[in-house]
Amino acid sequence: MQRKAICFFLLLLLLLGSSTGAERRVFISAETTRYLKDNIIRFENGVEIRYEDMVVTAITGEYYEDEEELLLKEDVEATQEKNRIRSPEMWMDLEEEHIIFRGGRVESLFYFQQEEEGEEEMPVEMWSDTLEIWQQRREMLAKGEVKAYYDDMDMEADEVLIEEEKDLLTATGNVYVLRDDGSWFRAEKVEYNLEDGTFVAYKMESEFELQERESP
Amino acid sequence: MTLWNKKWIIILVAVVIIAAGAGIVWYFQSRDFILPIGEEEEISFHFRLAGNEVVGWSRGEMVWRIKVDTILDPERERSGEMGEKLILKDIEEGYFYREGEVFFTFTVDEAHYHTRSEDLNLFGFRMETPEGDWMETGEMIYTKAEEILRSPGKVIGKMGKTDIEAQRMTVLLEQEEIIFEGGVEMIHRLEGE
Repeated sequence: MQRKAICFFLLLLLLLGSSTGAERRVFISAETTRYLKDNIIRFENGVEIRYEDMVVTAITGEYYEDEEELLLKEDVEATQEKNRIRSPEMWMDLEEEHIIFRGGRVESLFYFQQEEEGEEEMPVEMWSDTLEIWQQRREMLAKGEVKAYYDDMDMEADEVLIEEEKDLLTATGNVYVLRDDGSWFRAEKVEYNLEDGTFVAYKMESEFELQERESP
Repeated sequence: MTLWNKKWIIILVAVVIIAAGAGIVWYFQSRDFILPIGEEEEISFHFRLAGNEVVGWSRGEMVWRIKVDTILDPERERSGEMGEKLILKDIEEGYFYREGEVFFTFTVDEAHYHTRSEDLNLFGFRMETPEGDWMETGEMIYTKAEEILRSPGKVIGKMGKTDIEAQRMTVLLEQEEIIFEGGVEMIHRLEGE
């Protein structure tokens, strides 16, 4: 069920050019566009990039044609349906198919499609210092004071890596998970299986409130 | 004088007249037709008409060149500080240069050259670069003092893999920079591998 959110990242990467054969079109709107020497294209006073149902907006941007790199700055927002990523800066390497959201706190909001029809979609909110996406490796890495809220669970970690090929989310470094019922645990590393919802915690520390059973 | 002598004199005169005419025609055909325009001291480096080409210069370098068939007599009307207006029609092709190399070629329906400011108004303008990029607009204005080309109206074109539409365009020739303004819309094509 987490696949849809991951697909959102992969859709972002379609901007970089994927390996499908058909010609694809990216629509770019800007108030001012400068074609500079050395094959640099600068967007000013607001830029909007649309690809299929995905929209990326920013105040300014530069495309380095020779290096095939795109840099968007100031109030960067990438949206696809209800999914959204906000950051001060976004950098894309079209050749390596690599995106980095950076320049300050990166705020992400994803809606995971529920398995059962009619079930309410569950949003995941996440904050990090950077968010990197690799198309070819199908990986996403959030780094720097990562905080995520999902359902009844809050999670903090130094890094969170999502590997789509392995259906695996790995949180490392000072991992702290707190549930609405007050239970919590700390660990050095947590591996969460996106397919079946099970997890493995390494070097775990926790407190459990033991309830007395009434004697029959 | 006999009738025979008179006949020879007439033939001789006719031969001399035909030879003189042929000589005059040959003399003018073998030279480029030079039409000096502007102040005498400016002729060598500002503007000249040679054969069927009009050439604009700036600081010792050729900036633009237009191949033209028809040049209408300069109008006597004054257009502000820009001086007399020269109308160029039936233009085959034009060129803008940067450092001696063709920056881009262009075609126009009509061009107006202002003799004092040495500015150009290019109507029905279409430019093409050696790389295959192109741009079209209703009017493009070359301002010599600023070394810029400016389109006050809508412009459409293609640069690389990108189609472009904008409400205004400015080309800074010195900086080799092109600025599109006013709701710039671009469609960039990504090709699959």
